[in-house]
Amino acid sequence: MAQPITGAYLRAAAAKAALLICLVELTLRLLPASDGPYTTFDPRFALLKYDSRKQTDGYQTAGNLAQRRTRWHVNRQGWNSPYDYPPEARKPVLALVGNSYVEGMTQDLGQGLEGLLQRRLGDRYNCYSFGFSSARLSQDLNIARYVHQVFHPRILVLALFDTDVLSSVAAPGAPAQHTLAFRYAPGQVQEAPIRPFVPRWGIRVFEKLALVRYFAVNKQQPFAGDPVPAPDRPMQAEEQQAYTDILDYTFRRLRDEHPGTTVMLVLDAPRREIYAGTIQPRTLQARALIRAVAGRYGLQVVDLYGPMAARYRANGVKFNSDTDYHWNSCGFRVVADAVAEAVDRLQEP
Amino acid sequence: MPFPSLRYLLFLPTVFLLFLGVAERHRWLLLLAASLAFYAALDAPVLLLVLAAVTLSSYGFGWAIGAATDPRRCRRLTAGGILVNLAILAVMKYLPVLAQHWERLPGRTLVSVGVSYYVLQAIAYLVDVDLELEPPERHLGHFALYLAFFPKLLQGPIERAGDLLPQLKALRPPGRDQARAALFQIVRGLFLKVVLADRLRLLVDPVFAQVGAYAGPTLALAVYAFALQIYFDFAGYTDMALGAARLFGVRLTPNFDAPYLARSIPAFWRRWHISFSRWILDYLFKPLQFQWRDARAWGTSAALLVTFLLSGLWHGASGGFLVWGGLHGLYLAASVQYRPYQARWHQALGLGEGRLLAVGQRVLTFHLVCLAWVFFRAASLGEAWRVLAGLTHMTTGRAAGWDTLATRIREASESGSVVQELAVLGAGLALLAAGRAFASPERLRRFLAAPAWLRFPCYYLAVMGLVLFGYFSRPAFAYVRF
Repeated sequence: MAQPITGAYLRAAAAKAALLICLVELTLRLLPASDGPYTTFDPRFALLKYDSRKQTDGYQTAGNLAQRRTRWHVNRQGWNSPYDYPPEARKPVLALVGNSYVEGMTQDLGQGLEGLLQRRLGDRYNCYSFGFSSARLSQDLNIARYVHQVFHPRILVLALFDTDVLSSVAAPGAPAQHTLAFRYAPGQVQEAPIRPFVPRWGIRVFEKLALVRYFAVNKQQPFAGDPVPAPDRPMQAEEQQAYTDILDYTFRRLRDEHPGTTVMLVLDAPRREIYAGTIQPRTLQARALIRAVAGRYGLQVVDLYGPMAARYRANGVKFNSDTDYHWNSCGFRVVADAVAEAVDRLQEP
Repeated sequence: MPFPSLRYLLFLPTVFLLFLGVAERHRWLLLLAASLAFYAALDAPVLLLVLAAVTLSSYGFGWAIGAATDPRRCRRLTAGGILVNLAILAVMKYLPVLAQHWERLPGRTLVSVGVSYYVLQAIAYLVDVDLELEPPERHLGHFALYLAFFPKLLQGPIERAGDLLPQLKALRPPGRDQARAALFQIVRGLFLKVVLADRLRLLVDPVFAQVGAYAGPTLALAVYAFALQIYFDFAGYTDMALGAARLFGVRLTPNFDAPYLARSIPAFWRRWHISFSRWILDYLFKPLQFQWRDARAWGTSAALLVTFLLSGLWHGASGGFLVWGGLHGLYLAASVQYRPYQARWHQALGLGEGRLLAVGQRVLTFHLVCLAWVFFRAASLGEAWRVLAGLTHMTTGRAAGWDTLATRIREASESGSVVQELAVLGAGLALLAAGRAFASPERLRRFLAAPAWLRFPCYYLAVMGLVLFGYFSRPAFAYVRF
């Protein structure tokens, strides 16, 4: 006669399962699973950034056994950087704005774009990095506003991904987000209201579980840091119109809201296509649109396609790590070189 | 939703707990609702419509066949029911393929996940009702659950009405031992899929994607690796399906029985995808063999060849599947012709019934199966020929391509280390072999009944092994596309 499953048996099984999960959690904390800073919301600028009053130092790890480990530090202004950003700097400010690429947690502290560029530009500029993971083009605009009001940069460098444009549009009827998104109707782009981020206790605990962090970061899908891959079909008329309208709105705002600042767009290269030795029609189309609209508003474009393709042809070294599409150290060097050369060409100050 | 996913990890225990709490008369309803939710989670609403169409048409035809008294009318109704099911299967499976070539056709984006499996079940049901092997099912809900039962919905096993329907009508919660055994089976399936099958994929995919870059030894390794990959992938799924079904007191047909240890191709098909091979044997081969019975052994051979060509087509509308099916048909047809002479030839060659003969037969059978797998896995017939031609370049000047393969493994693996990936693979295979050699069902039962302090460390190691070395972001099970 089989023993039936009773309530008491289920409770005991649940307790054993909980104990097992605790042991796994403990093991992953020792490994350690990747760690990230706490997020906070600055109501003055309706801006998500990192909380400098909580944990300010930690390690991001990658690989199933946490083989690759990089250190991060949240400065007093709430960004990943080894140093603080005094608002009234003696030297002109070069501000880097963008998503996790600019944030640079996949590189050791000071080895990301900010550090490399600072070394390349020397005493001429103070390089400040304002990268926040998963920021889209619309949120870049929001970060740029904060940067303008607080740091008055001489040069604003915005990392742009051609697949990041349409993802700035909020789905119709979607609830307000914690970051800036656009509402789009043909010929009309509007900024959607931003919902303040209130960190709840449950979310904090969930975010800080090693088990969750391990699966989210260490066991990420190949190319998890990549923006949504571009479909290989060319954009149709409607999609192309939306793409152009969003670029037009964003670039116009960037020009109008940053008088006296040189705005530079760093356009990431289609790296998979470079490795494959092909280029998709859609990629060409998107890049042509970006160049055309940026030219209309006098924004500089630093296209990484040329330098990356040339470097790959020369030595076959890739610009992202094996299982992560973020730039690796080689990728960051190419980007820093390209931006520094563009800055040199400005002949400022 | 795929089995190795967070959603399923929440879904299965939730349904199990509800199942334990719900009244006996409502258990079928709960499982039907859960199965439909499971299918709906694929985000392809058309699939629910197809399932509904197959369920309602087969239920209706089954009922009409049962009510008909004239045998000719019965046959006509059965043929009608089968045709409706085959038409649905053809539209779902082959329309997208045709639409790729002919732009005017709609349906390029149709997905047919699970359809092939429950359509075969529906056809088997209609034939069984016609032959009066099964009574027509009167309860539409029970019949719908028979087709939609979620553990076997996406990839089988293909269950007979006589085996599954009575279990679904008298659903009982499992006992403690049964539940533990079910969990063990699910974990074993997960191990086969995420640790072994998806790690073998690291060896297979780069080689089949760029056949020209590799010479004979590397190609041979990739072919062997694929043979293991597809077995672990499918057997892993089946273990998870059988384990999940056992949690609801349902026993499904085991689909595998160490197929690569078979000593002949007929024996292989008795051990590989058992529910499918039984289906084609009963519903395709036997009627054909009966039709061609006058031709004796040649009729049987012809029936086998046609049956396996059709089984290749069932896998997909491509030349590779057709050749794969054709090769197995040829092997089986040849074995029918060879069988009367087998003992005499063995005697003439001095081959006794010893261990050496058994090993030789296993090696030969495995290689014949591998040869067919080349056509199954290659992107096209041309690529398959290139693999076979490349296998002959064992010692020519062409580089073996080991460096290229190592680079590809590094790029695609989570660890970024070829050594770690191969070490885990080796350890996993050794663990599996040791388990087969030493873990008899009785020992397993004793282990599952052992005190918690003895079992707990093993559970911890199993979970940590899966977490650290499992690939959870890999594509779905290979057989789900059929």
